[in-house]
Amino acid sequence: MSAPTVRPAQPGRAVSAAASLLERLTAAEDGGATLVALALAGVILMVGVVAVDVGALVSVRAAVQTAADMAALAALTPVDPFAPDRQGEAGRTEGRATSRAAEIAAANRAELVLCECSAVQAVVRVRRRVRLVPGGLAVMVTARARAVLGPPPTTSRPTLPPADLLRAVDEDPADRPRGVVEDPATDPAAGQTRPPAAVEQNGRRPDVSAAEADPEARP
Amino acid sequence: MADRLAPDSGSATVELAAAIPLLVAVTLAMVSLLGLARDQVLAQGAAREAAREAAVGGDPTRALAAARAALPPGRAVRVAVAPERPTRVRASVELPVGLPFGVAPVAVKATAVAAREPGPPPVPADQ
Repeated sequence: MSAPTVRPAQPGRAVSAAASLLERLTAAEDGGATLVALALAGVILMVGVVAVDVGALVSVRAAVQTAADMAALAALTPVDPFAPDRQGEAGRTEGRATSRAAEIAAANRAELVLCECSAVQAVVRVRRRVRLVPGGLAVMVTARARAVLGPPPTTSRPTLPPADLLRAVDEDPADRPRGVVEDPATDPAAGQTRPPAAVEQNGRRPDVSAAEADPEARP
Repeated sequence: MADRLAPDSGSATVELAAAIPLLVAVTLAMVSLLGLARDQVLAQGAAREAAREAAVGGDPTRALAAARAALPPGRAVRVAVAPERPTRVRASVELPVGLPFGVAPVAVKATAVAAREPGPPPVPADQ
């Protein structure tokens, strides 16, 4: 076995300090290849931690969006199946819709933070706390959804087109006209042929499962 | 310099040769972790569709069909739809995921709870 040090002569001061530390850690090692492999393993480990966190965030984000959608739908769902008319009970609706949305959000392991619920429209914001791999680090994943009472959609899609995603980020839900029931013919699936006035006024499909993605994970 | 490097050059190659399979294994493990995350999202989507279908229609077979439609074709899956209260339905999805290195496959789970909607089930759309 040769001498424990094989470093090339005269590295910089900081580098030599790091090198001597590494040499103490790997005192009995001969080759520079071990150092290279060690550094590589460290980098891969760090990338792995990031990959685990990103994977957890992505899957939690999907779950939280589900919770938001279900809560928004629940806010518009009448509890009594023999209720005379959904639109006629506007006075009682607000408080009950909020509690209903909160219940469904909790059942989906999320917390309701906002519910702008009227008799014909529900805008819901929901969040869940996620712990990340470096211990103690946690972020809030939020999602927003909006349900509108209206005629059933002509087609059903699980996700929004990218154009709607962008609009959902731009738009403030408070500015939106309330209670607008859109024409079922203006489905975004046929968005190219949609009249521009409808796009500007309220460019979302009438499907009650319309979900606005809110791709932010805030601490 | 050259006479100091000479005896080490062989050992360096040997060490690198020993390290590379390890690095490859670690990389493979990471890729399968990402696959797990992707399947978790898939399972969540399936659970959501099943819960939604069960909430509107109340028919478990249609809920199962909706869950299958949200997954890649041919994917094995276990879907359970159960009424949780008179007003809620819970859909649970278990998606087996194969892992490398002969590790036993794990089941990725996801659930979704939806408020049951009153009224007759909608007419199936013929699309």
